[in-house]
Amino acid sequence: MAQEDIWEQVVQLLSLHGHEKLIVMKDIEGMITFTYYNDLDKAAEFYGGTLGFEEVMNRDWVKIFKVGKDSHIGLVNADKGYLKPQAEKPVMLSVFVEDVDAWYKMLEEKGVKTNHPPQKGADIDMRGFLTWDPEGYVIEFLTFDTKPYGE
Amino acid sequence: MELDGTITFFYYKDLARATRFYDEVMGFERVIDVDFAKVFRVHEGSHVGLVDGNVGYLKYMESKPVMLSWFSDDIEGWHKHLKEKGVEIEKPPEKQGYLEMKTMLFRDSEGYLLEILQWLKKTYGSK
Repeated sequence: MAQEDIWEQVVQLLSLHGHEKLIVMKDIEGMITFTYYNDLDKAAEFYGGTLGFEEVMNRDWVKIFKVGKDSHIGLVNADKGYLKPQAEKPVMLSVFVEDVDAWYKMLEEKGVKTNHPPQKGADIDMRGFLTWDPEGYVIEFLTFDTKPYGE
Repeated sequence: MELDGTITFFYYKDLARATRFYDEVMGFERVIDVDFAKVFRVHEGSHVGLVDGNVGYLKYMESKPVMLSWFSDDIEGWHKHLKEKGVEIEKPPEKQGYLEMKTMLFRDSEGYLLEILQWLKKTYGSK
């Protein structure tokens, strides 16, 4: 039996038992959060230079940085992007780090604006602080003191 | 300076409706569930978080200059699945000229732009 046929049978079986979620979950492999800039070079300097994220794609109008194993942030310029930069930005990028204090110290030393030193969250056992990229997208750095789920 | 993962938080007028979208349409695993926020695991370290935009640090707003893009090996399967769930597809799967990939655009319950992306040729690494 061809591999596709076997997969089709698995899908049918899971569907019969109400496990469609397993099917959908299976094949997503990673994520990019795209944000939109008037000054792309300045934004790229912030993510690549100041934060030190690894650049994995670089075109004149879009730059992608890796943030952890399978997450990325993509910076897009105002001309070619499907969306345009806006003053209002109802989105926050939270980044899990091993050592939130070290990140805070590094950003302080680089003169990057933050809201306060790492503080404990009210609802979840974590410590974090906020910073802003050059056009005002909010970024949170946090360390979970107790992992909220999983290992 | 280890990076373990991310949550991209979006802010909603109607959190319950948004939660249903990510539960039932996207089928993601809900890993954190408190009154004003729900976090879904997309894959390994990648998460999306939904926040009550009436009370969150940020508020829900009309303009949403952000797109969340997920890599999949089965964009056609996702297209079929989303249509069956009654989701309006803004751009059906099509090959992009600038990179070896196919993309599809759609929106969640309050209009955040979502993309499924399938690499026809991986641009770097194995993931």
